[in-house]
Amino acid sequence: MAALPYCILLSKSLVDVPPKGVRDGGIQRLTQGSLLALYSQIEKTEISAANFQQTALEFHEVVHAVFRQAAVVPFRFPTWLSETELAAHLREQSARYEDFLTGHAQHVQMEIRIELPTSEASQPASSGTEHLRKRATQSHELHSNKEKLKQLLSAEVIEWRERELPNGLRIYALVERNRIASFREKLSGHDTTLSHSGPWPAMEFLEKTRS
Amino acid sequence: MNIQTKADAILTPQGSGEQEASLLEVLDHVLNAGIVLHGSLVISVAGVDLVYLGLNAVLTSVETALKHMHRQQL
Repeated sequence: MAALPYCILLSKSLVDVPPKGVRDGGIQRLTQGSLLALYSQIEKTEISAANFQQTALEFHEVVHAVFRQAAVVPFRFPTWLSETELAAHLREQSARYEDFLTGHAQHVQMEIRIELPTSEASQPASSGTEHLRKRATQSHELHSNKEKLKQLLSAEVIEWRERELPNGLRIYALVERNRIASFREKLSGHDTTLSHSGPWPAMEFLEKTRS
Repeated sequence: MNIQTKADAILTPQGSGEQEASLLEVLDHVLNAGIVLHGSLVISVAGVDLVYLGLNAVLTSVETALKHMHRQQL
C-alpha cells in the first residue's frame, strides 16, 4: 500500500471531505503544523491503463469537492508517497504552502485559450520570408486580442499569467471567488476565438510574481 | 516535452464536442497542474508498453528508458 495524496489545505479550513476517493479508498488526513494533506492508502496496481481515465476523474472529484470550499494545493495524479515522505514534504514546504493558501484563500484561477484560426495556422507558407511574416502577423493579432481581453476583464482580474502554445496563448487569470460569475458573463459577450475554463486551484500563482 | 499531447491522444474520450473539451480540460489539469514530487507510469495499450512517463521530468519510450536503466546497471 502507498499513499496517493490529493491535495493540501490549511488545517483550520472547515471543509466536508468526501467519504470515498480513488477506487473507493477511504480518505485519510495527515496534519503537519498548519497544513492538512488528504490522501488514500491504495495499492499502486489498482491504477492501470485500463482504468486510468476513470481513476483520474475520481481523483479530480475529491480535489474539486474540497476546492469548492477552500483553497487547495493539488498533487499531480498519480503521485505515490509513503506517509513519512508526505509528512516530510509538508514540513519542508510549510512556509511556502501556508503563505499561498492564506494569501489566495478566496482566489481561483480562470483560464482562457486564444487560438489561431485553424485554416490560417495550417496553410503552408510558400517561402521562409512569407512564413516569418505570417508568424509575425499572427503573433501581433494574438497579442492584440490578449490586450483587449485584459482590458475587458480588468475589473474582475487581480493578476495575469500566460504561456505560449504552439497555436496560440493560454492565459491564467487570478479571480476572487465571488467574481467568477461576472468574469464568465463578460467573457461570453467577447467575439475573439477563445475557449475558457475554471475555476481551478490557483497553481499558476503558487510562485510569486517574478520582478 | 509535451505531456499534454500524449495524454490527450491516449485519453480522448467518446462523446459530444463540449463534453470532450470539458473532460480534456479536467484531465489536463489532473495530469499537468499540481505538485510533482516523484512517480512513474507506463502507459500500455493492448498489452504493449508504449510510453514511460517519469512524472518529475522525463517522457520517453519504454525502450529508451530500459536501455538507459540497463546502461546504468553496467
